[in-house]
Amino acid sequence: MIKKVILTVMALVITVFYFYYNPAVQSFGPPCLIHKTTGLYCWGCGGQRAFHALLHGEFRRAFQYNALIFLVLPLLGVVLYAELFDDIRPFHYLRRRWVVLLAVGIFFLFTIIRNLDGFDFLIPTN
Amino acid sequence: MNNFPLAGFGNRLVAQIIDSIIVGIAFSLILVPFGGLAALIGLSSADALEGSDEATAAVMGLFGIGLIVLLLASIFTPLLYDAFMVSSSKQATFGKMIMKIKVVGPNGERLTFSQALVRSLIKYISGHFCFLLWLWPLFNPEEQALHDLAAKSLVIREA
Repeated sequence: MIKKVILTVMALVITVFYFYYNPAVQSFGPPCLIHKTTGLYCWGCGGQRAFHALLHGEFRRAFQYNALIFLVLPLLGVVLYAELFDDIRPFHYLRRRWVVLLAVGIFFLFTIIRNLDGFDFLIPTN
Repeated sequence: MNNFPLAGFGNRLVAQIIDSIIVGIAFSLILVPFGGLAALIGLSSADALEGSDEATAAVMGLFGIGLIVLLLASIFTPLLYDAFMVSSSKQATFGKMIMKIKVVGPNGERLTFSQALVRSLIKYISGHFCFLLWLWPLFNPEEQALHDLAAKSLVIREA
């Protein structure tokens, strides 16, 4: 029960927080160490800004900030559903070999592509 | 594949949230003495701006010491808390105890302090590089995150 209450409260708090807080205007937390040290954009760069944009219905802007938001958010939604309703099926699906390989492939491919010339539309810009 | 009852992603996440709150409170308590000390000797930022050179030096000195303590504490408090608790006889942080889960080695044994420290170090480094790395247990059949893979640990439910 405590798990379900805390997860629900956290999901609501984070959603409300990112609705009102705009990371593009004021930075929150430490900067991305990968971007800071190498100048490259990692798989997570722009994630907070993308979430804020998505909560305001700005889909194109969210895509530019971090296109992975369109995969990660449904994933987190499914995980939240599974935890709240004690449904273990999603975890079985996620741990299938081809799903794991696909997820790792997408993450690496996205990270490589967004750092190539000609893919500026995948780079977060304020 | 082991036969231990795995903790579950949600339980681990909630334990982490509880631990973050506990460490946050402890962290604040570390800082209180510095504010208290400044108030005790009657200094404020106004003294630094308008007062004598001695007052300015004292305020800036306290500020500097506070900043160093803040930085060191922010790095080491979560690391040491996690490592000490996981390698203790309980094999769990307070958050994990509340969620009735614990950390074990590959054969169910308690982790040594050095193993727990490595686990804790990789946990915080991976978390600071990108929170998405914490989603790793979702895709691992034994729910192992990167720090579990490094320390060959499992997070299981208490018997």
